[in-house]
Amino acid sequence: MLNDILPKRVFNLLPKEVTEVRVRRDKPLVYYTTQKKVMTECLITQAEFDYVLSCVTERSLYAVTEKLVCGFLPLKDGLRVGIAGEGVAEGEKIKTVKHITSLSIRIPHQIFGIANFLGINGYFKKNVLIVSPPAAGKTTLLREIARTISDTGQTVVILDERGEISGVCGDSFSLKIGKNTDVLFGFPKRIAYENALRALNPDYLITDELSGEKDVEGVLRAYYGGVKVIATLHGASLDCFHGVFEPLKKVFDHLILLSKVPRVGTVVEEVVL
Amino acid sequence: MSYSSVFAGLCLILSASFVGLWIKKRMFLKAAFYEDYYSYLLFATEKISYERMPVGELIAAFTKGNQREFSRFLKGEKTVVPVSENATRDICEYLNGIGKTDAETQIASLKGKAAEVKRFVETECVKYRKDGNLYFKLSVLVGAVLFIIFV
Repeated sequence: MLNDILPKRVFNLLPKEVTEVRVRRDKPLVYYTTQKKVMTECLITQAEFDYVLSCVTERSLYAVTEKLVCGFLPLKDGLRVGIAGEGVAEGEKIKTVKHITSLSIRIPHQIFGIANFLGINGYFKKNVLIVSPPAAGKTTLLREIARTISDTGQTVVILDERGEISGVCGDSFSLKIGKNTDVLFGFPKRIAYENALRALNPDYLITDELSGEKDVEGVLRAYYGGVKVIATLHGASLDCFHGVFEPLKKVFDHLILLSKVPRVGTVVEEVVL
Repeated sequence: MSYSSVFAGLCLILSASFVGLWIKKRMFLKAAFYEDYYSYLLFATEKISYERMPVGELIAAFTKGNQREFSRFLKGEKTVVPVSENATRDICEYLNGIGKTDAETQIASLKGKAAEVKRFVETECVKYRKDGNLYFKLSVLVGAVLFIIFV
């Protein structure tokens, strides 16, 4: 997939284990692997940047305007492109993004067995919160937990707003998410929680990057409705239930803190309440 | 009148008819090309309005099972485009511009272009077909006249 959106010259510089590629107009290429950040001397020209931009927007800006406004574009195979540029405002609302100058392409990884330390089996009933700074392996662990629980026979519903967890591609998934998993892709979180709880009868609700009141409200609804929740949250420590997240303190009984040092996905702290 | 001269005369009529047929076919192709262009603009307007369908999918959906000249032109295949170089360049420029704006602007642009092409189709394409038929009849007539004169 990456070779479909990057110029050949750029693609050939990347190692197989690349996890993120930063493409900036008239700036050198930067990429990340699970172990390091590499700043190359390969300058991205205007034409190359425009090529990447037209590929990630499928040469159809009109088709992705709403997503551009949210700051990211979900691509096939679970790739996600973060966008930086100039917002065009209309009143209080951002209408579109112009003068795009940076693209951050995240490549999802699937590592089987990384959730084994949780001892998941058919009787596993916990609300798990994974906390870490960005790009420390939260989503990869979340995906593996979802897959493992699902394969034990419990019904898992993934609220995959950006298609990153499941790698959704049309009506199929490029990543393994389990035999008993349903995915709500592209739904705004508020609607996704409601639809999942009302219509899909989950044992487990999986959601990435809790970010505000709507998430907190949704998680509490699931919790009071007897549905287990596994979620991730940006943070640097397990002391993370402040402000809007305070009500979630009573929900989660298994906390995991991840770090990208010495390598992405390192479990540095685990608390079972 | 010998058999050979009659045969030569018939060949003359046939040749002239073939030339006429070729001209007629070309005129009809030209009309069909513009009519398909118009259909594509309507199709794109509808699909972008309701589905925000990307350009690649638009082309694939429109050309599926369709081997007409405009479809082949749209897919970038080698084709005999029956319109002038200038007209081809204009159409190319317009089609290449699809996808470079937000949905609202894109739909407005497509509707404007479709209205323009519709006017062209309603006047010029009818004329192309009429001319095609006329050229064919004229060619047959020219063949017959030459037959009378020379044979």
